Amino acid sequence: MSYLITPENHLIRRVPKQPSHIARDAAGQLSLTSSVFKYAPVTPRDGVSVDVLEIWLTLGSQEQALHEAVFRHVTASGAGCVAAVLPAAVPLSEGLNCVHDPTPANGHEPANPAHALILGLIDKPLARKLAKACVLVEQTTP
Amino acid sequence: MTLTLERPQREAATRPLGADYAEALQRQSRHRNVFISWSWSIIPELAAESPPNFAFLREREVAKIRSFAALPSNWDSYGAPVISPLAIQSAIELMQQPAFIQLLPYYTPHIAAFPLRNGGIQLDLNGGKAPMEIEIAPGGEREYTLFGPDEEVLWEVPTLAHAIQLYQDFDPVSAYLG
Repeated sequence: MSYLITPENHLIRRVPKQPSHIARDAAGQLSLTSSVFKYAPVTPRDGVSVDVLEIWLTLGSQEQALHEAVFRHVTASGAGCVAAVLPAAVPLSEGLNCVHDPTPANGHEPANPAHALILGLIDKPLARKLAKACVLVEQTTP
Repeated sequence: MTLTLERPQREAATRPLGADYAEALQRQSRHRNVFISWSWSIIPELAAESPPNFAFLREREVAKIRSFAALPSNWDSYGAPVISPLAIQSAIELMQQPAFIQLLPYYTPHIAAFPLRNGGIQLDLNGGKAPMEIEIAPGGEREYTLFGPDEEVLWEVPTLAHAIQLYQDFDPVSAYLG
């Protein structure tokens, strides 16, 4: 069953801890780099993969939701991830399309009922806006 | 009395040429940095990374860029390819060019290198007149972009010389206030 993503939803993107994707901005504050959202789609169905927080929340607590979406994942180089939580209102207001795209289980990964795609061309200014709008959440307990 | 007069003479005879000059420069630089640290501490948010140390920043980021060569495919857990050796080479060459320093502010330079999902590299330069991104494509081609206060692109050029010229001529006050 398809889920309609609205501006009230929150989208979660995994950000590897290594190499770091955090930079000091002009004010000296730590912020997410725009490189996380840079993506040039080849086909109209290519997009930036995210998880819808609210879908995971229907299956458990916020800690469980973040665990499923982010913290249980390890990159190919063995590093953990932090969660970049993006209000769906930001890409939607910029004319990007956010669509629910649940993925079935395969040999490596279990099914992901919360998977979604941010569709559309994300140019440099847009990538910076998306990165700036993110709130970073790190796992507090192992 | 005789000894105190003779000791400096012996030392001077064994010191390498230019050592006095280098020492004087170091002293001058130390005093200057202390003054800068003191004056910039009046503005706490700007004091975080002063005094400046370009060589340290550059070496730190070059080491980080070199480490990108060890990233396997799927390094981001979303299926990203490995970082192109040409992009790594291009990024290191750029950072080691003496002219590169002209794109950085003197007092609070923030340089950070990041891998891109297309196999390229991105350099973020912050703390100067305006934020700048340098995108290095998997083939090694570079693109220098300066951003305005609403993240709009102020200019975008493909060469370091052109970027330096535009950056030196850029007046943030008139650009931001119209």
